Amino acid sequence: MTEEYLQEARAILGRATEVRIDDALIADVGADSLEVLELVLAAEDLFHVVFPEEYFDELRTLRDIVDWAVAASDREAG
Amino acid sequence: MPTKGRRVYLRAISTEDYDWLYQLEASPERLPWYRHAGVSPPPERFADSLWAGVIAQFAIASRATDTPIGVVAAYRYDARNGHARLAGVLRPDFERRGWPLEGFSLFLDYVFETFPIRKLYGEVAAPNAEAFRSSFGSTCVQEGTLKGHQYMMGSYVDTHVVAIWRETWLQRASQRRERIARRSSVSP
Repeated sequence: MTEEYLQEARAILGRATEVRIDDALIADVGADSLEVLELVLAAEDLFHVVFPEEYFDELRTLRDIVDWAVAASDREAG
Repeated sequence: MPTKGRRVYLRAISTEDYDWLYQLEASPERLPWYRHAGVSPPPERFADSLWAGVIAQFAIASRATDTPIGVVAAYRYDARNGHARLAGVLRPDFERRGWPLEGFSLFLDYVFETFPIRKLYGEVAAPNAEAFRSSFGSTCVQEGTLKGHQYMMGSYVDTHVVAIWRETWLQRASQRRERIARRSSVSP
């Protein structure tokens, strides 16, 4: 599912060069606030989780998004 | 139609909101860029100016805390030609954080599903457009640029006139619903 998310994230970002999982979304990729929101919404749809608003201040990379979503999904699965 | 998102919801503005709205719109940081174009509205006439020409206006509030974080409005509706203006502002501590933008998305759903509006226009100073430049050319169409239109941070900067077309917005919403439905049929 992580690979599926990365594919979608790259489609959302639509950059000419491939965005890597550890690239800093704002500093390296130049993502704007709307793209960050779209990336989170896509992760929420895929992993069936909801990111808390305060987490937006902490996420830096696609790995941050995936790691939080996987952990939250595992917690919900019990 | 949903007026509740994952982290925010839209709610009616009551007279109890006027104080924080006044503090927001009439603050030195916001006053030059929002509806009053730098001219301080007298507090006793603020309510009139808040609703002047408005067809829909809501507070955007956090679902986690119920705190109002901003306001969004459609105004200057031209029924003959099917367009209106879009305006919105967030409290400074909620700017550039991503998640509050969902409130604008909910509002666009509401406006396009409620009124026969073909497109919504907005004006945005070039430096402020950075927060959503990815939508230029897709959701938002840049229809013009007013050169050196606004004085900002020590210089005159351009103002972009952007439009959000009804068909584009509704198509985007439909694609999103299909994507979610597709995923719901795949076990996590």
